[in-house]
Amino acid sequence: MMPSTTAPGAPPMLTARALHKHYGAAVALGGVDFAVGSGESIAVTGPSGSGKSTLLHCLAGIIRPDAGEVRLYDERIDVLSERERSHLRRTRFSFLFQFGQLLPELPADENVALPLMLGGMPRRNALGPARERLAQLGLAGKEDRRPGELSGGEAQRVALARALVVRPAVVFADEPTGALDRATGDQVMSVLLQTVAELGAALVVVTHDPVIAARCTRTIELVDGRIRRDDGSLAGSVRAGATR
Amino acid sequence: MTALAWRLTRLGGRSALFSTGLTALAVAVATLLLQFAVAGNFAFAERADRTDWRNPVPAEDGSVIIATAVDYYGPNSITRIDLAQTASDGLAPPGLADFPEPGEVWVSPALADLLEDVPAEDFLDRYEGAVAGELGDDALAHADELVAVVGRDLGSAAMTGEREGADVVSPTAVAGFDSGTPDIAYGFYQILMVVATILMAVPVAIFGAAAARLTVARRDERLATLRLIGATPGQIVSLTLIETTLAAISGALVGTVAWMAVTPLISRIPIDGGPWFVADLWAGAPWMIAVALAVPILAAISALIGLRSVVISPLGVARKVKAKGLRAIRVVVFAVCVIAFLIGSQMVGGSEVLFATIMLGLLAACIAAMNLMGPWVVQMIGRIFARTARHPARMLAGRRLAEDPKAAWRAVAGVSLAGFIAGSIALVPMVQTDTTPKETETVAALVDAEDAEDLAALASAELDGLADVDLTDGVGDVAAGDGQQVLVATTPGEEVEHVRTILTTVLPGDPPVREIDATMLSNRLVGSIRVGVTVVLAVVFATAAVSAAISAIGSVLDRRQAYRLLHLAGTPQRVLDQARRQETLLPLAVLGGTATLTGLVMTAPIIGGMGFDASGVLILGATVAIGTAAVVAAGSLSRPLLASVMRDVSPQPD
Repeated sequence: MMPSTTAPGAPPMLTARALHKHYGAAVALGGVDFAVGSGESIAVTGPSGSGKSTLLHCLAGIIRPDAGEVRLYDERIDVLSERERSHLRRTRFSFLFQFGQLLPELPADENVALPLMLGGMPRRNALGPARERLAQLGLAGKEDRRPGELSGGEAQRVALARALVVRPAVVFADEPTGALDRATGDQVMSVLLQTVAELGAALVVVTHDPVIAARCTRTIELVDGRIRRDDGSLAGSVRAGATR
Repeated sequence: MTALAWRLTRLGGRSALFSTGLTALAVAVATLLLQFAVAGNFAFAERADRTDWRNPVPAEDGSVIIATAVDYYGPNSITRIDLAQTASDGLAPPGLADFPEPGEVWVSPALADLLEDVPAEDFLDRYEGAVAGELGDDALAHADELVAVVGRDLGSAAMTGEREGADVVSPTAVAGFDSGTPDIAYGFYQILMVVATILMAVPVAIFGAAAARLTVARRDERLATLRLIGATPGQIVSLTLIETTLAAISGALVGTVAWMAVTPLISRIPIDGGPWFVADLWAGAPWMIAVALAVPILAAISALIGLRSVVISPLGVARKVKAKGLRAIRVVVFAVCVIAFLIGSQMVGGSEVLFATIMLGLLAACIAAMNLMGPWVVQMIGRIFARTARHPARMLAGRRLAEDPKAAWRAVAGVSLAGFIAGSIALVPMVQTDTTPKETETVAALVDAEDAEDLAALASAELDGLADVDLTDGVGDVAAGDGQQVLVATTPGEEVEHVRTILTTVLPGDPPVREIDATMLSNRLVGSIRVGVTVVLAVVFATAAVSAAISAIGSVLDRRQAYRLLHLAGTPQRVLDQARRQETLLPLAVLGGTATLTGLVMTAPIIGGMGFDASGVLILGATVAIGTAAVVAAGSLSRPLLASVMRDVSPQPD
């Protein structure tokens, strides 16, 4: 049974129960429970190889867990077909990575508009909101630049604009500031947290960086594919639910 | 350094080995085709050498009298060599152990087969002798050649009468068979072979060069990393050159061995009436080694050119800076080449060899210039589509074309060149006239006016009612000159060979011919050209298909990071497949179409005068259909690769 009681103001949007994933003999996830609610931000930390990225991929429907289940609201998403999961990722989720997520041949505004166009919106209609987002992130006047002509911080803000333009339910970020200097990283992180809160979305951040983890509402730490520490009240109830 | 390069290749993981392997494979294919193109040129020379004894250098005091003629039997033409000698000094013509005695007829194996069921009165009686045996291969142009060597008495009519037919030798005294003048047909064939070589070799070379850069492109980022950690430009260059050259050397070796292995198969291609002796294809063996050596060197040079960007600017490659715009001068160069060719084709004259050389050079320049123009056009198409696209697939395709037009051009270059070549040769007339006997046939032969009445009477008597004999001033191509008349015999079709046999023995000089017999030579030429065109197109298409497949695979590997992230973001593979299809089909439609039309326009003034027939249209249609199918198939071939690349979510992006 899934937990019905959650932290105040954070109804569970994305939940996972007893996730297991193996790569050959190596255990990437050894029974992980997880829940995140609207407006919440969760930092997933842990040493290299502890299963952080695998957890992220399972939660986002990129890979299927060997056992366990993932739900978005009430819908099981781990059992959906590849096509359905693609659709889900395109419409309800967004992704932000360390670097390289922008298509080098597209100018900034088209990079941001791409997810909308993939959803069937004509280009003319998609470029409007895309440029608006860019302007909000301080990139007005740079819409025509290619990723190669932008600084690292600017490129990451373009990626952020693209992640947010579809108004996602959950944003997944994997070391989003890993390639940036401290000041730029802080700035990107602030915008990310602020916009997620405004949209009422949830944020899952995989990070090594304690400073970033500290800015999230909650932190969980993975070791060898299991949750070792969870500082949030929500997770406590999840664990209780799982062991019941 | 070599050890390090090898280690980098070996440890570069599956994708590094894969791309190096692709390079080697591509080089192997290119080498195989180049070996073929080069060998073809020597093969004709071999035939010419082997048959030039039939037209030896005249020698006043020579002991051998030689004369040649062309005999016809139905739709076949038979080369006859009449031999007599004034003193027996042990000379033997090629293919025979001894000088043929009078009355001995030596036939080629193919002629022996042909005559097996033919009554002597229909053919063999023409030679007034009996078959003594078969000629050896060293007397023949090819195994299917129809040849008869006939021993004659010195004083016989055959050895005294002048012969006036085209390309035949009147009785001439010669000292031996060691050297002679090759048949002029081989000169013609060799020019055609050079054209075919250019048409095949240029695309193959372009493709091979692109393949050599494949490794470099794949390694761009890693090389830039090496550069960033302090490797000198020289070290980078050596590392990559070693890697590419190793791949190219193994490719060249494999390609050459493959060529050796397929020579028996290739030798079956019939040109000028028959297939080749396998040895003919080996005549250029020293050149075979030269090709095998030259290919890796060319590959290394091509890789070096591809490396410039990495060496000059490591950061540039690592950051993927926007590509420079290509300049319109590329189109100008192409236009200039085409116009020069068109003007040149109008100015026949001067030294013919020089003229042919210049025109061949211009043809090669046009093909090379097309390779220059292609990327520019691709970029223009890309910009237009990127600006006007409403849907993501077209926008992605357009931006990609505008960003990396050279890569997109590589995918369609082969097929566009194939279209150009098909357009160039589509207008070559390829109608073969039917030469089987009609209901009533007429044969004609030139005779001296003085003897005409006597010969006509003699012929009538010998024919004994088989044919009506007349004397005229000319029938068809057989026209009487000064002091000559034309003896004409009219007969039912089924008796024509019998009548010819009788007349051949009665009349000195050239054997009697039907009007249509003259077209047999052009039939054979047209047949050869048809085969040649098919072979050239097959080679060009093989090149085009392989290069399209390789560049499709290369482009997926190049962009695996982007594809992976697009997949993560929920992009359906359908959209990516659509974008990739448009990336190739849009430039293909524009460039393939332009190329085909240009080919048509360029050669129309030269071969247009030779007539027109539907087979050209068929060839063109087939070219367009097969070419498009090849590119589409090449794209779908890489679809599973795209799927696996997309779904590869290994945590460490490379």
